[in-house]
Amino acid sequence: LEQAVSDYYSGGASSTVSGNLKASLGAVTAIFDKYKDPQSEIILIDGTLSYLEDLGIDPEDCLSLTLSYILNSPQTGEFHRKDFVDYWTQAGVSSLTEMKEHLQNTHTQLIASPETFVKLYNYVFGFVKGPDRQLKMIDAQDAISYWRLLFAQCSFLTSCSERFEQWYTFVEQSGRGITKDLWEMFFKFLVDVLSTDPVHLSSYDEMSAWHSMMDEYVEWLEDNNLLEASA
Amino acid sequence: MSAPPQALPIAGDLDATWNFIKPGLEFILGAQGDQGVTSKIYMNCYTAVYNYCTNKTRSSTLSQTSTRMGLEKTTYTLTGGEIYGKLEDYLKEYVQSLHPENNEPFLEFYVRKWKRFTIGARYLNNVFDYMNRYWVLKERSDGHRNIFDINNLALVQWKNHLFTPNLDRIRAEIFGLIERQRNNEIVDTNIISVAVKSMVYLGLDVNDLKKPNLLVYATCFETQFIEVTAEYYRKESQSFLSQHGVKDYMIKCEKRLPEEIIRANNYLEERSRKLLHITLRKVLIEDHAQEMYDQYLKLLEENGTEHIHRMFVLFADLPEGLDTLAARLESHIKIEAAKELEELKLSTESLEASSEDKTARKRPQVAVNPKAYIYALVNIYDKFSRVLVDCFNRDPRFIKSLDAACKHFFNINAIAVPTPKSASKTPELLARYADAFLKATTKEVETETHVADNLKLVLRYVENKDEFENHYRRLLAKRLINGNTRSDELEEGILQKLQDKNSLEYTSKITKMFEDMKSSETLKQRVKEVIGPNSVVGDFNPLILASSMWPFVHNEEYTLNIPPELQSTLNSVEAEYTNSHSERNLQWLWNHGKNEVKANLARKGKPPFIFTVSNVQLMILLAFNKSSTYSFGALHQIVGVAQNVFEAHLLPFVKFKLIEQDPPSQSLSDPNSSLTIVNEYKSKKLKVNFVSSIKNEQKQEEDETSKEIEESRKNYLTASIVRIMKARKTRQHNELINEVLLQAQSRFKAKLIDIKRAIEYLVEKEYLARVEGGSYEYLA
Repeated sequence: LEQAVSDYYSGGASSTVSGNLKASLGAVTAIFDKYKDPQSEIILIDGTLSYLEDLGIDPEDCLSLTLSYILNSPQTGEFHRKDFVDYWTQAGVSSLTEMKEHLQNTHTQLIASPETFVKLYNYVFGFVKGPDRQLKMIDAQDAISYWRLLFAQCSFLTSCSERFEQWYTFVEQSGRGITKDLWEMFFKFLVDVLSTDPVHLSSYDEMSAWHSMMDEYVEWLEDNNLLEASA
Repeated sequence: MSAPPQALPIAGDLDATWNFIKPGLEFILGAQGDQGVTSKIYMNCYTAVYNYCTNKTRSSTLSQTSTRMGLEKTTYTLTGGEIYGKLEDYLKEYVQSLHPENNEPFLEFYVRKWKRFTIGARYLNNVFDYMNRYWVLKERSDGHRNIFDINNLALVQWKNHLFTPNLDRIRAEIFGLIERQRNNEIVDTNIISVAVKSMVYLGLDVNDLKKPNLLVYATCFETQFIEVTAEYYRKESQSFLSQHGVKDYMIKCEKRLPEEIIRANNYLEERSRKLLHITLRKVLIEDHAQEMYDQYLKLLEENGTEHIHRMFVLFADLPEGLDTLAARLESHIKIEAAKELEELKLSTESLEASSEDKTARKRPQVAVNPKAYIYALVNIYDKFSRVLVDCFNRDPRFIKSLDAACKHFFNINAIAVPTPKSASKTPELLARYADAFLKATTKEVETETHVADNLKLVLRYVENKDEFENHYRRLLAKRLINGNTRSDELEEGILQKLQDKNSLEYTSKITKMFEDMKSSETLKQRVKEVIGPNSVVGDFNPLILASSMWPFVHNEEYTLNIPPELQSTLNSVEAEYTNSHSERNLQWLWNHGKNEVKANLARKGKPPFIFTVSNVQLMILLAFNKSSTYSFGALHQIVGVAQNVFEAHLLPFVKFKLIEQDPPSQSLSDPNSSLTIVNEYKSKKLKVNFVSSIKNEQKQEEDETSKEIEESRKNYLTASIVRIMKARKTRQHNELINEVLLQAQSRFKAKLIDIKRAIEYLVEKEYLARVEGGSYEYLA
């Protein structure tokens, strides 16, 4: 951080800009310090909850995921000082109100299309799994909760909401964990197959490189008479 | 006709020359009653023509000619034009003057005259030899394509003034003769062939007279001939078929085809033969293919070898016909095989239902006798192999049909796959068939070669060879540890033959098992020396088995408490073994092996019983040496092992009244009952086997088997994918799948989903990564 501050000073930019930056840096740092864990340089779960409350965001809202995403949170309830300060100063934002406004805008942009949303989506897997490298998958229940959270506000997915409810049931029944590969493939499947033709899934081809869980899902749909044969 | 003038005409006089040679020409062509040509006439004519052509004084005519020809520049021009013109006119008149004699059929006349005319034309050609060589050659080389050498000039005149005007008549009469010949009348075939040949000669290429040209033959004869032939045989085949049916029709065709071809060879040009052949094939065979196909299945069913072979020969040049026959053979074999195996299944079931004995209940899932099943498969194969030889000359297409059909029904049939989607039982039944032969108790009288041949044959078509290997190994393991093999030579003989067909890797585990048996034998001898003769244990046969080679896994449920009287023996084995292999880890598999126990429970004066018992049962009996009554819990405590195992092994003793439960209870583990060994055991037999009635652990073994197979397949697929990707770096999904399928083919039919899971496993392990467009990338 000190390095960053001195960079700003030595940059020799116009005094107003430096002044603003300095002001915002101070304000952002003050906000971080307010929520951070007294024993460390990290905002932990309690701090996160108060921060969210002060921002007026429900933790059960997808907005909270966008917040974690932009601040590069490695796992639930954990924000690091550098990520926090860098991001907000970069964004030129220094008050809770501005933060909320900025967050809301970013969020709206992210959920607008699959192309932008996929960044947030793919980030969430690592966020849920946590930084442990030994760990390769996340629990089916956790995956389902986060899928619900993520997809709730995506207008481009409303056509197939019934299909992902069925997917949740299927995943739950299978009892298997969700790997990064499966997590990422599912979104592709969602966009390419489920949302394009939710009734017949006509873009599905079992010979393609879909993850085996998707093949089994389609088979499961057929076995349970949930899939009309395509014309 | 006056005799030709004796004196040669003046060389330069055209009319004189012409008048001089004309009578000679008539002789040459055979006009006026064909009196023959003397050499004098011939020589005179030749000389007159020569003189005329070599005369250089006739400049006026010469310049006239050359002006007409537009060749002013040359001072030296050749003579010939006028006399050529006269000859041309003369030939025309001559040809036009020819007429048939009274009642002579036109064709006969045509042929007769043609023969004479062509001879005459050749002589004429010689008479005008000088002119041919100079004037004609010059004219032609100047591009005058309507000037011919005299022989061809004669032919052209024949064609234009005799042949073409009468073509319809000539043709009709030729076809008439041919039809009569087809109707088995005797006709003068020479007439046909000369007439047809005349058309060949009449075909001139005006640009190159030496080049044979079949234009006249093709347009005036061939086309119509083919039409007429097609029509004739179309009618004949239709009426014959409707009157006599397919079998006789094929006999007819078999005769008709070569007949027609031999006949036609007399008058057809080489180039038409193929066309004729195609036409005949189309009219006689292709157009009636449907009727023959319809009969084909019936013939197969009634084993009409001779007829089927005939059909095969008839279709021989018709690739699509053979394909159809081959495809239908394949489906026929499949249907037949399905029927026969269904019958075998039904007959086994009815046999079982009628006898309703214990063997039927013991193994409800493998009802059929493996040998009967394997024989059924082999018999069907043999039957159709014979059909291949007898009917289809072992044509590769039909071999393929049999292979494809076998690949299907060897794996999928009523017995192998009783319910849809279940895995094929053929590999297991095949292994059981081998087991039945190799067991010591067998009464099989088959020869080793026969069994080995059957194994190889069935194995060739079995999709999942790895399953066979697994079952074979399990059964072999049982034979080996139970000392139940018929002979080592047979075992090795069969194994050798299996190795011939398969890769060494495939049977490497089995080979290792035999090695283990041998080294265990040596160990046994050494231990025997160490222990000495005075031990509780009479004859101890320890087997040291390499853990990944043998189909046995250590089972925690079988953790036995070893009583001190046995412990020392075990210790000596362990000590002896670790002596030579210190780094190896030994685990006792108490769930395998059996013991013979001498039991002094007989009536006084009778010899002691010999009980065959499992390891767990042995510990139970040993406990009763110390006390004759135990509670269930106490006995269990002494023996060890899991409760379900303990109960399963205790049950036969209670059932066969060696141990009494008092008071009797529904449950062996009833804490209110006690277990007491009888003082005097009652049995008619001296040897009692308590092992065979231990509750079957088959289910568990099946699970183990499929788990082992699944595991080894997973490893195989993973290794295969890594191998491919290491070499290729990136690969399309489908390409990768296909390559893996191909690699696995020799061992098992890989399922798509299993390959995908293996890929996913590797993605997860970061050996592979997905890249855009459904491809994978190898991460080094």
